[in-house]
Amino acid sequence: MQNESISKKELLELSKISYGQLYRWKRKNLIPEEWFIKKSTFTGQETFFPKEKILNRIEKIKNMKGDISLNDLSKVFSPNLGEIMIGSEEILKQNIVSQETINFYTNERGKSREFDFEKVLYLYVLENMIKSGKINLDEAKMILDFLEDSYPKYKNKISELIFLRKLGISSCCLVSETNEINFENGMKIVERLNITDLIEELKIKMV
Amino acid sequence: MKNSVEDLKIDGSERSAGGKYNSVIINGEGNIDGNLDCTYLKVNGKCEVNGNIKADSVNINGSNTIKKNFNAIEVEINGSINVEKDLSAEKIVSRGNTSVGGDCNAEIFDIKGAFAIGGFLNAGELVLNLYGPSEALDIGGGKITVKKESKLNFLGLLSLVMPFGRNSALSTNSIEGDDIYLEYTKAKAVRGNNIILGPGCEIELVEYKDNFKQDDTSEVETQRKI
Repeated sequence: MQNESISKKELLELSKISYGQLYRWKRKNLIPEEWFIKKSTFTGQETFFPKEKILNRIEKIKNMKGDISLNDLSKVFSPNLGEIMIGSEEILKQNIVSQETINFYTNERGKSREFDFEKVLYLYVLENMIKSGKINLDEAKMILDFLEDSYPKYKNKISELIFLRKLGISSCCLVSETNEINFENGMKIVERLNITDLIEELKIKMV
Repeated sequence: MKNSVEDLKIDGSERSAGGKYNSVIINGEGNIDGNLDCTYLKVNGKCEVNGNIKADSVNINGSNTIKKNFNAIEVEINGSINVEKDLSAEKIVSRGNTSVGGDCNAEIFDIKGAFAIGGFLNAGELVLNLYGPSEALDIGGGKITVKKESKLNFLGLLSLVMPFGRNSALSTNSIEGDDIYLEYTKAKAVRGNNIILGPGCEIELVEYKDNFKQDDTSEVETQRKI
């Protein structure tokens, strides 16, 4: 089912968009070039798309379009973390993370007035986990150390952060796309965070 | 950073290694061996770039050849341009000959002259006033207008150099857009919301959503309302 494709004509009908919109989004790189797949059919050549991905993406574009410009939107879907710098007051004002998380970071790393996108992402991950009460502050410190160390090396491949605990001892790992992971029974998966989704969320909050 | 960016000026005939500049002005003949990254590029004469161009504003009077990609915000061409890979810009205004080996992306693509695009032509607004036979692999966009100009009213010389003969003004596989007006166009398929075919078109398949009109001198094999 995952590899099911949809023809361009079906897509326009199903998602109620026009050729003009489709091509505009393609120009703005909201829809990646690789999703336009040309195939020969008995009526000549037609373009197909990976069905699930494209429908998902178009839904997102339509939902967000009212609030932000297409150019900003293309930054959201770009896998590269922008060279955005953001001050701590701004982070609080935009409700990206809470004062507690910033305090925690300040305690660990000293005061910093501006954060680049990666730092904000780490804060955002911590915020999510601390707020849900799944980790304590020592564990948060471990995750921060781990992210700072490992994330920059693999950033374009990473899709999930998994936080584990067994018999009171905790650990975490970063996983790249697609693979299934099995742990033995005693291992408890405390939290799985989809980093790619978090990045998209975060970018929407920041633009 | 800002202080290290200089201008490049070539008068006469010169070679340059390329690099990052503020403004680049070429009067005469310039050869650039490498990528060119600048805010403003002006060519009066001839320029050949053995690499990519990335620029904000580009003004070409004469001819320019780019061996790789050409990426800009605004491009104005009076003369001819030849991009061997992709061309993308917010706005492209060309009076003359435009040739692109790969894909061409623009919000506004305004042509008076002729063009040849090896890949896909994707533009928000396409205004093609054709003085010579033109082609693209496929065309997609919002508003697409294709007109064949009579030989006398503009650049009489140009039409002598590039006569239509018996050819169509534009040939392509498919044209897809919201509002489409075509003259002297030959295509396998034209799809859109509102389609008007002026004189001299040969289209195998027309698929439209709202309106379709055609001139008596245009031939359409199959037409379908969707």
